[in-house]
Amino acid sequence: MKMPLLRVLDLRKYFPIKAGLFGKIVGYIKAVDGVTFEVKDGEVLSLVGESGSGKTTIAKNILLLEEPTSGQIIFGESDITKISGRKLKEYRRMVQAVFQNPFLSLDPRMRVNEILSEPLMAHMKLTRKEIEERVTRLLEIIGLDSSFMYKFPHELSGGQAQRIAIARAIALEPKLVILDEPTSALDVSVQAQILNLLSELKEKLGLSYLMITHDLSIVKYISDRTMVIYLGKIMEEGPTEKIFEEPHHPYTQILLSSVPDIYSRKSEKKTIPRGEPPSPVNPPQGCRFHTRCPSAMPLCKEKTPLETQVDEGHLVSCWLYVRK
Amino acid sequence: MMSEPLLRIENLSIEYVVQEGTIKAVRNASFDINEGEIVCLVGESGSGKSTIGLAIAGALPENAIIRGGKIIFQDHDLINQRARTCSKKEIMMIFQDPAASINPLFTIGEIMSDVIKTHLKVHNPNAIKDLALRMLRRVGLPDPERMLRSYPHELSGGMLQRAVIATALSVNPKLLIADEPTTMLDVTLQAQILELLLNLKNDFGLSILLITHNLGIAAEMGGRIIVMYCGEIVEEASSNELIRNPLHPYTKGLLECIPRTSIRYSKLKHIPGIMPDLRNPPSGCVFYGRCSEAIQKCRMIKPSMVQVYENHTVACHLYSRGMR
Repeated sequence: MKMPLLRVLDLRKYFPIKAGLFGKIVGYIKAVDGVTFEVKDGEVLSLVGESGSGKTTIAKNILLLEEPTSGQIIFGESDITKISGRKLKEYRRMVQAVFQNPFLSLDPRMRVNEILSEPLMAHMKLTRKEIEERVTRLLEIIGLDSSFMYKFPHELSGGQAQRIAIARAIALEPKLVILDEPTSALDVSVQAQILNLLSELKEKLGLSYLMITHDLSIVKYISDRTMVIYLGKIMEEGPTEKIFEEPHHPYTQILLSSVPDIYSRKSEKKTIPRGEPPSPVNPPQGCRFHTRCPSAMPLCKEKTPLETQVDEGHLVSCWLYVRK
Repeated sequence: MMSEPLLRIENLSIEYVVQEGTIKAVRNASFDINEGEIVCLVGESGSGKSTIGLAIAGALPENAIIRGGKIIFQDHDLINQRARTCSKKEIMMIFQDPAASINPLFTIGEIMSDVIKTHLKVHNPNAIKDLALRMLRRVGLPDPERMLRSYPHELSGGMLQRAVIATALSVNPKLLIADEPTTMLDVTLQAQILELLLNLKNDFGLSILLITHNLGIAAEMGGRIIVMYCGEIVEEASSNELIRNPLHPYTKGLLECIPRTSIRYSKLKHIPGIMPDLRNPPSGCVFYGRCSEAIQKCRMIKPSMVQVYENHTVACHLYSRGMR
């Protein structure tokens, strides 16, 4: 059994909606509404959802870029929402991130060697020479030669810049890297290079990934477990193979059949989804998906479905699978 | 054999003048679009696919220069301004980000009536409203009366893209150019919009030029696919043929690096290297530097398009006469 590296317990994040001159709170956007999961040591967990599903908010909470409204985020032994000082600094070292657009996440006024040595200087007591050696080594690991050392981000292509962002994330030898749509801004041929690099690094450096994406095809390629999230709630969770071969939740099924596939024709499609996702300000009562669900029952409008285990480690939140 | 094609592009070359020099964005592109046909222009960023779309629509930015070639639409060369004015309403274009392509200060109703007045010379308010409502209903928007009074920001991305499609279709064009129309949308909405485009093609006898980076989308639309790389057309075939029997090494590489949801990979293939600089494109084959099957001839001599099978042409020396 692999040990959990990170545990998220009943995480909630509500953003207040303010109105009027005095900013009176008139409602809440329930971006994340009671999410529980864990990332095991050495695994890749994918969080899949459409825009507004709350997947990025979960990442921001884990990275402490947002403060959760309630719930716990446990890394190792401690709840990271309550730690401070040296422990917090240690946590920040162990958990790193790669974002969607490297040109926004890399400082445009810093050269590559400055970008990569900054975290080393902040966290490790190293001499100048040691830092230089490490930076050279990092560039080697991510597959760029040392001529890139003195370039600015704007001189790099999208793929090269994303490699630098990855190098910066692994510079401090973290345990967990959060990948927030790491290839969405890249072309497919470059996307494949970056995905291969990521899975190579994971093996080499013993990393765990929490991958956040809307793209199901890359999920299949890279992740061990997959979680499908819709309007701030987890719909289905299980081993990636199972999710793709036997999707249980109607939402997962629709999501999977919506992905354009090079070997299928539009006319052969089974399920074309209906409607638009509802607003998270006023999410539907009961099951959040019932407004678009092809197999919705009266019960779905009234009560939030219970999480049911359909197979080993495969959980579904849908009334269709709750044993009567 | 079809009679005259609706649109014929002949040896089109387009350059952009920028501070750093001249970008040769499109070089010697030739293809046809027949009436009622769907053609997908596929390529990665910088391949020149959008530039061709803009040139056909007559919407090239000011720093673009058409260096040569013809855009013949219904016997008129659109590069000639007079002919352009006559065929304005026959060619409509929709873009990736609907919110950025329409004026946020006007309601959907105002935008639609403006387009209808300009192009159809209809001035009776009731007739305009009737037409607008009919179009909004046709693209599947709920509550079209309310839609007419809505501002763009009040609609979601998917609804707005539908409204833009309705606006484009209200003047009954012959050709719709859709530049990455679903790239900003979630997969479930993407599937809806693509289905809508296919239905409209069938109902209105519309020709569609779909510009996309996603071969999966191109394959599902089921028309003809034209693959572009670095400003040049490298391969053209029916979607079925192209996906199952790709000839150009670039097309093969592109197909192999798309992760698919139905297969589990240990390692993704990728195309090594990056696209050459468009200011100074290679004199031989554009793909030479990244091609695994390159021969000496490829470096110096540019391959021309050769027909290998019926309706399948490719620009690659491996298929020139005497090589196979």
